[in-house]
Amino acid sequence: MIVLWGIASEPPVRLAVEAAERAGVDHVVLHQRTASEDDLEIDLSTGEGSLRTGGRTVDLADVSGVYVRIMDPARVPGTDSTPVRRARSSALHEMLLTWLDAAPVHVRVANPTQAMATNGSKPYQAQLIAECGFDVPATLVTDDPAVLAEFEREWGALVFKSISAVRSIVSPLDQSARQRLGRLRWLPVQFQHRECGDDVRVHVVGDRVLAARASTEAVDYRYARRDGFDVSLDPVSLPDDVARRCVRLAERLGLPFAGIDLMARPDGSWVCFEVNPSPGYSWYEEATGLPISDALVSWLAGRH
Amino acid sequence: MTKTVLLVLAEPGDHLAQRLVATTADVVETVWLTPHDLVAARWEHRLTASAGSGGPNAVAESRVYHRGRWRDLRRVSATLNRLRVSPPPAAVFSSDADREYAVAERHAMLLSVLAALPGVVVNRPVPPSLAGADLTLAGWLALAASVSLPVRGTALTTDARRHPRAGWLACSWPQAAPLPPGVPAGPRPVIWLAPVSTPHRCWVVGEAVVPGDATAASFANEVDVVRLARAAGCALLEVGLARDDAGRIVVVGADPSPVDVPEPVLRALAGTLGASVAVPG
Repeated sequence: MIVLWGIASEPPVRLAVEAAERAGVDHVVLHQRTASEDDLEIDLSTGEGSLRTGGRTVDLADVSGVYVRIMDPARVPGTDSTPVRRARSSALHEMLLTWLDAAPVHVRVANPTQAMATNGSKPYQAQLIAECGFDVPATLVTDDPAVLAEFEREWGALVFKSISAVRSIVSPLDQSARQRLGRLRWLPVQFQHRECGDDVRVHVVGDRVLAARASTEAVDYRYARRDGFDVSLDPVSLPDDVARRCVRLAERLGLPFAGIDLMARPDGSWVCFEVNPSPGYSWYEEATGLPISDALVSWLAGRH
Repeated sequence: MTKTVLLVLAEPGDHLAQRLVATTADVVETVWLTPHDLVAARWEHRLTASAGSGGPNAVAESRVYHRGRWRDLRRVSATLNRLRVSPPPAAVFSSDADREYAVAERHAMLLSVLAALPGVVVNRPVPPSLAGADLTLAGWLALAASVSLPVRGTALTTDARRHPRAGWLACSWPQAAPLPPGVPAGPRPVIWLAPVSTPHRCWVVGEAVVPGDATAASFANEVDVVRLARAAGCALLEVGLARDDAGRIVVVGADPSPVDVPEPVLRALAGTLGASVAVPG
């Protein structure tokens, strides 16, 4: 029995549900929008408990895996907003996450919230990425224009992006951005050497590796169409050592399901930008045919 | 001779930090940065390719401009890190969204800076927390149970009426504040806590356990609280132990940022931080 937890109409959850149905894996969809109608009891001292949702009661001892693709319950659109229902919905989320973060070893969780937190600080996560043998872009976090000028003299063309996971879009440090550098003193900003090469998104599921190459002229291929550029995605095979490093990196971060953003440099080396702990993999699966949802469901069900 | 540099990250009125600094001032140079200082200072935090082979592919280094000079944080020998919450944003951010963003950004930078500090750091950041794991009571008990420590009988439920526990104490979720006796009205989420004796405190400092009294010492002989501190990534952790109705010694709570500690804890802390000083006993 696996639990698929999120907004059922959201593409990554929808694809996971379809994959479970294709594979004949017993599953329950825990809908965020109707969480206030669900019922949960967990005994922390014994590990026993039950979840009642959609008219079905699940013994937590029977759960082999949980896919967590949730948003802040207070911000889920289309939910009942009475205080009592909000409190029940919020409590169910927090209680279930408490259990998942310390879940018994037989329960596969993609992904534990504690592990997801590394993405909340990009330079912190980059330190862990570098420990796993990947290059990371030369990075500067500063609120001092003089320090930035020195870094730019050293590295040339730069991009900037948020330090946290909030508003995380990569932008070039161009003339327009320079006009706003007077505000730098109020808040540190993360600058990076602008790397050149082919963007590759790697999805790691357990020990499986599924990779896609993105071709575009945009600085951030994820937002290429918004910025007026074309983008195409194609499946790609990684060199064995790079694939192994990706699995090791996902393990190091405690993320059985990870979206790793790599770039293949023209000289054959690889640089890693970051690891997404809740990958919106549906875009990649639908564009390339990579069986990411099948791999995810198979892993949750303990089949690989 | 260059003094050892002790970095203290704490509010100005942090009593534990003040006591530690007072006992080590003669032999270490203390740099105390308050949350206000962390916002007012200028920062340079870099990740650059490392030269050696076999280690990480990049190294992090940080400098902070404070009180008229740049300080290289690679020179810090040890750190007492008491940052429980993110520093508030600068007043220039007026909208709620911008203030929220500013707090998240500075928090993210500090987390990376703290993770890259050399030497002993008490406590190191555990994302998303800046100083040790930041868990609710339920989170601490779940963590303790996950490393096979006996914990106080604890049940979480979204509906206390549907899942009552006779004789247990109903507490609010998630604060765990006691509610009036009996089963709360309505479909209310609660934590049920089994009855236990009066808790006794002990402190994990590095690999050592410092009991608060003789009872705590005997309790700590039966429960390996160091295992909980390791699982939480905390070099300093206060742990509450008590006896339940079945006679078992159980974990009843933990705090990675204790305020009121006895002198032996302070001595152990100074030792862990590498400050070889005689702390008055």
